[in-house]
Amino acid sequence: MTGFSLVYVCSAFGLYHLQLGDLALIYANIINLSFRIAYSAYFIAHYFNSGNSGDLLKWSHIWPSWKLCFVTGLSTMLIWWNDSAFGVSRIVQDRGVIAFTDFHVVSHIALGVSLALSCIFVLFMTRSSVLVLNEQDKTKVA
Amino acid sequence: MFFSKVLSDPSAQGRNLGPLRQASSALLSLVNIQLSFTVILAAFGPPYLPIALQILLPRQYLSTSAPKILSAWIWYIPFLAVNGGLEAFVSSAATSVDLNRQSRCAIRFSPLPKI
Repeated sequence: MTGFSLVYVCSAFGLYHLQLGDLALIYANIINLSFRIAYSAYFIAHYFNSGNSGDLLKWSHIWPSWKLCFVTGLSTMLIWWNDSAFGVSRIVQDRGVIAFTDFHVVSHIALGVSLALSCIFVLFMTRSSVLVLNEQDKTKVA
Repeated sequence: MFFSKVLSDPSAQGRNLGPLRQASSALLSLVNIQLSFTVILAAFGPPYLPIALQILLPRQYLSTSAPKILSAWIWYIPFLAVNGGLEAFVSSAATSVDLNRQSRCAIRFSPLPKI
């Protein structure tokens, strides 16, 4: 815990001197949380390994499925392309709230909503495969 | 509370596989869902946040550092989520000696970030 506080303070000072301003505290917190996550992961791995139950903890199961990553990557490219092609960001920046009456802005939002729902659908479909993997591991151990 | 309940089971203290398997499955599923939503948030947050802020933020704040800070929060929230899940498990699995040591250090050094 001492180390985490020191990491936070040092990160905040260092990032502040890089002229990041208010963002320095947020990024310092992110760095601090990264160290805490690493420590927690080490503690958990040690906890399971010390009880000869290390095979119960498969860190490979935490990663999102490649299908979700693929659909999300594709969605990102489509959103970026739509924004570049029709200048949606520039319209919003120039006109403010009135930009929401523009067809391109509304269609950009609709595109984002439909792609987000697709990604969430893929997430829930792939979640069932993760549950199957866990069940297979249980039967193997048994 | 779930981890505390599972890991405080007397059979878990004796490292019986049943509760440990349940705890590891829950932990890995939780982190998996958190990382999956992180991927989705990272994909849709940055392009749509400036659009959403036009409605959510008053006009006088749009020219301040508030949009930049809110953009940084898109990356901060997933770290908070994952850290919360893992530390919940650690808090449930750690011995009282470990927790006392952590608490003393937290109290002693908590004023540091405020200086």
